[in-house]
Amino acid sequence: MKYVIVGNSAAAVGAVEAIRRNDKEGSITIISDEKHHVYSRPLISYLLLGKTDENRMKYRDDGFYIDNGCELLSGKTAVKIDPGEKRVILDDGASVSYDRLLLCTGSSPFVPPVPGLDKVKSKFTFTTLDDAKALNDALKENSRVLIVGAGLIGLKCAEGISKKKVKITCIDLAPRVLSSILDDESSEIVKRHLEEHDIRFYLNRRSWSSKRTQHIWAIIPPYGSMCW
Amino acid sequence: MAVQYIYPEYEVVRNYDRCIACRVCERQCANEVHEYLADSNKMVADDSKCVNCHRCVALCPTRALKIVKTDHTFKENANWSGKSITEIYKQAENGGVLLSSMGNPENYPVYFDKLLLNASQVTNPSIDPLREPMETRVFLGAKPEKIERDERGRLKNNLPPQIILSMPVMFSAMSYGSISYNAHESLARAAAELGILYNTGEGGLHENLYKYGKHTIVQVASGRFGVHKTYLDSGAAIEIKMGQGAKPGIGGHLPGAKIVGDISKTRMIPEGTDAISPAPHHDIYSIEDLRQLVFSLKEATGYTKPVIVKIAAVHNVAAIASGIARSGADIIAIDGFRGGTGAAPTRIRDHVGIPIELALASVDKRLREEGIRNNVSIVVGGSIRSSADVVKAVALGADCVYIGTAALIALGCHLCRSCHTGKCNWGIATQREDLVKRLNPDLGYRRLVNLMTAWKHEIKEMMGGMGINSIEALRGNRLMLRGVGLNEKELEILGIKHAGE
Amino acid sequence: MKRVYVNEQWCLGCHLCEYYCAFASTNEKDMARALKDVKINPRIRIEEKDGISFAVSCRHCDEPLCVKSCITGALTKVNGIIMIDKNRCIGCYTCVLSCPYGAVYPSEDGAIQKCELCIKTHEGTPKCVTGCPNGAIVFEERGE
Repeated sequence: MKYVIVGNSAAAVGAVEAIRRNDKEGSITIISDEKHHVYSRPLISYLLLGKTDENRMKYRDDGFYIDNGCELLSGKTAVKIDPGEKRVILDDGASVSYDRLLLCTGSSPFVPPVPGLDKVKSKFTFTTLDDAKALNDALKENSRVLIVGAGLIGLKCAEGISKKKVKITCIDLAPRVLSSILDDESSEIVKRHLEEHDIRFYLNRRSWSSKRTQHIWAIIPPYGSMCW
Repeated sequence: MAVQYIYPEYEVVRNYDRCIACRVCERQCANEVHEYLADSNKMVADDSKCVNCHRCVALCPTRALKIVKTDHTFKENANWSGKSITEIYKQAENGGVLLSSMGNPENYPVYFDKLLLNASQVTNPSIDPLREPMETRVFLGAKPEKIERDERGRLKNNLPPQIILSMPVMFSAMSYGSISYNAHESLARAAAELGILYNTGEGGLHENLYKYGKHTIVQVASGRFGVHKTYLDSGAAIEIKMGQGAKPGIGGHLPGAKIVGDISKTRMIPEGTDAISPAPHHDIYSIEDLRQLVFSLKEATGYTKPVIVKIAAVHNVAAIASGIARSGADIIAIDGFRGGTGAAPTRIRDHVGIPIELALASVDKRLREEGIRNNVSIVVGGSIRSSADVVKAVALGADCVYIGTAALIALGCHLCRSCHTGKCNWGIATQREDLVKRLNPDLGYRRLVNLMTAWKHEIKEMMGGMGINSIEALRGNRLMLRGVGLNEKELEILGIKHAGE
Repeated sequence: MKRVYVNEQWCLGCHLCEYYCAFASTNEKDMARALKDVKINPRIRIEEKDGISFAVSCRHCDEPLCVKSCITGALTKVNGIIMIDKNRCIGCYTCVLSCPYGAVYPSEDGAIQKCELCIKTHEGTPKCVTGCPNGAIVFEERGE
């Protein structure tokens, strides 16, 4: 039995362990566009904070793939699936055949269509380890950071860089932070706590102005919000 | 109060270097002695409320506490002790009878401590209890005059009902009401495991403890609390309480405030009524009346159980015992003046009655002289403190001993003698649920079993040392005793020689 | 597997288990020195109301919600005992939120702490069990 898994995070790990509980012989191939050993995504903000490192972020130990008989094709993107031939075609032209295929690529950040965004030089999304590392490299003392979105990812990003001596501003369409999780009163408590850590908030904002293009965009969360 | 006549007797000494302010002393003191001051993060104590029960000391995890006798003194006076003076202050204040708990603490002679045991050497060998069988079993009850045989020469069973014990110790009468249910359960379970008996006291038998009936002596006291047919049938023996060593001649009084819930149900009296045990049984005014009650109880139980008559040790105890031995009772229990109590007037407890050692010796002697020693077994109580006291009591003539205070000490009692307040911090002499909880019968009964197992072993060692291998060979064996520091009269009454003779 | 069980019939609410737990996680031999002027942060806590008290500590659940919620894998089940790797823990406190017994607590160093049956500190019976003065806390196998 040939198992192919596109994706290399929590779902992939769960799938590998479940498969191996039932089938110790079949081959497992994991295709991942990231070049890393499986890691815990929620920890990227803690990496920026210095509370963990790339080694401790690993979601399973180093021998995980070998111990479970998995072939890891990292740094490869799956571009097409041929269900008739039962093949996955990769970006480098190679193809991988399968008996069973699992697609678990997770979610991608939604970047709203903001006029002038294409001219912004330093902009990042904040979902992967590479995002966090790139952001970290780009930050300098006194950089001005604008975070679009005050949901979970926006605020975790803000927390992650809060100790880096940068000026953080966070904006959101909604009238309150963590709008899909908290009510007005508890949201206010969280906002106040973050403001004490020098994070500025502009909430309930609709309009866009493209005056400055030197802003560093730090985050664009998956559900979309808006910009100013 | 404007003039404080009474200075606290005890002081709580706290080592602040060791105190971690864990507050367990505060939480565990029913007298509210300790308090935590939040502002200064410090524990403080109000000495005036301390009764010296040691609950806080025993639970303090860093051993930061101790209780000392205050060194605040009256001028030295061999006649007017601080105690005598303070008692007058108390009575001047409240005009009441002084009440006390537990046994007589006054400085009267302890005869057990003036008796010494023998050991075998050279002329007759001692016995090693670890290598040779030792009989600690005793049978309590009337013994037949002589062996009887039938027409074919076989032995006729003319043995009246007996109590069979694995060792010559029983737990003495402590009523449910004076002590807690958990204490009773601990005693019952320990008696069952050890193969001995415990005594219900005058508070009746709680329905949950009927299952230990084979190890229970049911007591019929002057108040007749909890006495009904099933009660009598459930025990292994029935004890008629004529008197108690701690308070000879007077009755008992459990205040109505304590007669609630299960206590009221078990005693068969309405909640809130005072439980008064009258001084004489209202139907016993002579020895013939006692005989009548003995036989009523035997009739009621089909002559299947021995009847015990318990008396206090008073001046003419020998004559009283003689009368009881002829009344049909199977066992006489004598309670000496050191016996404990839940509450008694202080003056009665401290000044009435005689030492059990002297009472025992004179009763044993009188019954033997009258040729009726085998009509009864003798059980004695009233401060049996160790296995040595047990051996000495048996040597003086007892078939068995009762322990009360010693059993409670095993359960955690620290003899603070505040039982009458009902706030026993060890969960023994109280009915307050939050305090009774503190006596876990799973732990309590194990401690009692341990104590008795240790005593049994010690008794065997002492007997073995004397070259005796059974309790019955030790009973009344006055030659195994010698006295020290006793005068001629005491030696004569005890029936022993002085050491060196 | 042996677990710590509390019988509320005998719990006196004396809080000694909390102090013995706090002492057990220090390296001191003397409790007075270990806990003097220390505000304790024990892994077993007394809950009390209306005369009933009960000591709550990690149940080492067969289906541990804290382990499932841990984003770093710092909480794992080792031989049936739920253990914390403090080096991995980043103090997100998701486990504190998830535990249905409230038995996971923040610790002084930012990571979390919870009862680990005294495995890391010494052999044998957990200290809350030996420290309980009334036999309310036991350490036994109940076949669950």
